[in-house]
Amino acid sequence: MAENRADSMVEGENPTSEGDAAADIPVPESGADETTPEGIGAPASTENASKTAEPLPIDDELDDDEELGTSLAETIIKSMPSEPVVVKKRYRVMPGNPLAELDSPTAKAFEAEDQDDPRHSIFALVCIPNMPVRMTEIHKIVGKKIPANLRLIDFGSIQWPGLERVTIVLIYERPRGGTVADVIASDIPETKKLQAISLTTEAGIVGLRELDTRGIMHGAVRPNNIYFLDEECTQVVLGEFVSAPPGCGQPVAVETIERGMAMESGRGVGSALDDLYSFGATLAVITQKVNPVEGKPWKRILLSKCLQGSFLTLVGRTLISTSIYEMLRGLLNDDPALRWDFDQIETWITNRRIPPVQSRPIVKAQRALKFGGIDHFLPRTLAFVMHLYPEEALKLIHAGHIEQWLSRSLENNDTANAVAAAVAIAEGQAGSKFAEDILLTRVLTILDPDGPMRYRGLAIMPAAFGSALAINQIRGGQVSPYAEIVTNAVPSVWFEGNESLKTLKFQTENQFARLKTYLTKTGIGFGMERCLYETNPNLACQSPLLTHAYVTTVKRLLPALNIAAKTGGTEGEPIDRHIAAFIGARFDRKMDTYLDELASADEAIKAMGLLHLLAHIQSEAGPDQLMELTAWVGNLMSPATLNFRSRTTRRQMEKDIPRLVQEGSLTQLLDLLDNLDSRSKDDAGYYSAIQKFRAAEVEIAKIEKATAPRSSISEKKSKQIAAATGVTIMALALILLLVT
Amino acid sequence: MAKRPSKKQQQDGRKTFRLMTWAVMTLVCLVTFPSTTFLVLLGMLPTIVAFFAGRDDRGYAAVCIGSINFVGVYPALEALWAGDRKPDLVDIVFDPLTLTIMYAAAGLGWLLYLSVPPVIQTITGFMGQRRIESLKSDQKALIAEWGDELAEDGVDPDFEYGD
Repeated sequence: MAENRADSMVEGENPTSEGDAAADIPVPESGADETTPEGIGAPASTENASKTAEPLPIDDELDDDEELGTSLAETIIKSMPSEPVVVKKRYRVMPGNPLAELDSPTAKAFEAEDQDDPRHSIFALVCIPNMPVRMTEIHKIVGKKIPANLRLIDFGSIQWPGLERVTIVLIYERPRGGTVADVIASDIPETKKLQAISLTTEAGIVGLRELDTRGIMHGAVRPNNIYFLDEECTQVVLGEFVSAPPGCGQPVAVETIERGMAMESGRGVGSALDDLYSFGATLAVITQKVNPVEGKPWKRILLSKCLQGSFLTLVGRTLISTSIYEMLRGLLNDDPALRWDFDQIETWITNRRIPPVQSRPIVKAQRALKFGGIDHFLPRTLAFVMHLYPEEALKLIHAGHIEQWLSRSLENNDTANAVAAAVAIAEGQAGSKFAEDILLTRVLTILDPDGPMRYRGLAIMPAAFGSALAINQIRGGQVSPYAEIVTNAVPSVWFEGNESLKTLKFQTENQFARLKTYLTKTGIGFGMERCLYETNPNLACQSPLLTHAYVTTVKRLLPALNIAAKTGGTEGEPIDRHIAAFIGARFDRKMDTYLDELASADEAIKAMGLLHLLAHIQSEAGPDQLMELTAWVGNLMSPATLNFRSRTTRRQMEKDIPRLVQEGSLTQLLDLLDNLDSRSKDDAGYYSAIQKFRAAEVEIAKIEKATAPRSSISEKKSKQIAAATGVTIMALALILLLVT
Repeated sequence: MAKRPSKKQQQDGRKTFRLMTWAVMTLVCLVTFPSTTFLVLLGMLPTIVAFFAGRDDRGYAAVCIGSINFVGVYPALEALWAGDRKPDLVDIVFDPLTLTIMYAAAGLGWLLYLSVPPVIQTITGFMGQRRIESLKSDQKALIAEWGDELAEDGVDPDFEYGD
């Protein structure tokens, strides 16, 4: 995990004992094993709490998100081409000149040159392919000069040689003064350091406020992402934040407790208060001579924050400037309602004082509950560790230890009753194979309602489901827990503990109800791929057919497919599961009908579904001519002629298709194959043919009956003729006799 | 309420009525034109036999035989009706040539009645086969144009337009 990995300013290999607030967390007695009955739920007294920083069992637990940034972003370095890569025919990116100091957790920095203005100092950030970059924010800030923010000059997509597909490159103004953290940590005079701290404080607040007025959360404020723009170190800017979802790659130390407990891919968009917390934490880390959390495992940092509060965890006794002490206390308040906002900070900057606010004391249990080798005094830490050991956690729940602990040690009968009710619900669903997983989610939400939605090893804020799913897709992780979150409506379980978030509840539950319908359909255009694009509105289409293009809108899809047809050959079909899901998510709901056709086992219906989809997009989004794609689709349209019954019409259509293909119009092709008049004529012709066939059948039956041996009709007729012959002969003979 | 007579009873009633009518007419004719009526009854005896012996309701055999039989009877009738020179009924009746002509004509009628139907059946059978072949050929052409499902839908009494 990137936050685990963290930058050296936040976590290092050699934690110091001085100011080591994180070491104050209770740790298990030596040799305690969290998997033994003694280690689980056994009551422990506060006297057992040790002050030494012995390794905790949880320190050995690996995290799913570990090394997300490094492992994926390193592929960009490994695949470095030697020749410069040109972006938008203007910016030359030098793969041979990486700028490690400007790297982001999920993007690699390289020297770049503006060919139109070589004096323009820029650098390029090459993002991880398929990463859900913050495209909405990119469009809001590109080309604009936002005070105290690194300027995003331009962006584009490139085929980075060696990478499997096109990715996004961000062209940024290049900061020349290095990171503020490095400058302060360097051997410069104290006055310069104080000046740097002052500039950083001012710039951070201005920069975040500017973003907040534009409705943007930074989500990437950390020590190595605040720079001096100039070599003279007079101008401070906040670094880039659009190369990954908010909070992705952020060290746990600079994230709020709630966001820190979520997987880095599952933190989602927070508020300005979350940014202010990150800024406060960053400021705390870079303005201390000794970093109190350096080298600490991220889980210990979180536990320490829960027990002692973020301020005591992050701020030791070695602040370079005590002038920001009050501000840090305000920014690092773990209660969002009491955390300083922009107005309070400005008031403090102006008057150097702020009305005192009474913090709410943390209610701790009288007796600890031992779990995972740790003595828990807070439900929140218990929930955090229980999530790491699901099997043992369920044993603890079923044994009733949690209810006991809540009612006796915490004297919180409401929460104890809620846990009892959750167990009762699970017992009622005993037949369901997900009952235990949902029970754990429900209990963890009861214990820590502000924490992330925790389900089968995932810890995601409900609004961040999309980004977590997208990043899981990049990592090739298991999809089943995500699918189960949707099918089991896990967010609803989370909202049971967060009833106050009515608007978010309504929106999220609606969204997940829709996702569930997509997931229940397994055909092309639905399933998990559809959920991926529905929950990531700016995610580029990840189809293997579109490795050469960065397709984020339906308008770009057909030209990209046309190029695919031109360069990649036309074997197979132009729509795969990703493209179908992408169309379904980005276009109107009418497309679902065509997607259903596309999933049909009937080849004719399937072919028409393909044509309907593509022609509909062409008519709505253009372009008018798609020669290669139309030819590709045209080659697949033979089954579509089977919708007509007349063989003559079919043959005529097969002759007409190549002619229309040359015009490059899918809509004309559709008009030929799905023409209402032609269909009506065909139906009428078929009906008429049936009438004729039926009439012939009846006549044949009649003839066969009439001409059958010993047929009464035949016999009767022949006798009639014999009688008539006799009468005729008589008449002729009488006439002859009379005349003669 | 009286029970309505069955169809067979009605047909039998009609047949009896017809016979009664013929008998009355014959009696009237015997009284009015005794010689002519006797001669006709005698000459047309094979026809009368054919009429009663024929198995078809319509009496096609009687019509066929009777027509030719009457041609044979007619010269005798003409002789009977021939002015002053007319021969006696007895002369005519006992004239072997006259009797031979009348009954030979009836024989020819029989021959005609027996030989025409097989010929006619052969001809109509041949024509019917030709027509069937033509219709089947049309059906094949329809199937070639509209597919095998036409054969199924074409014999499906439930098939409706728009299916």
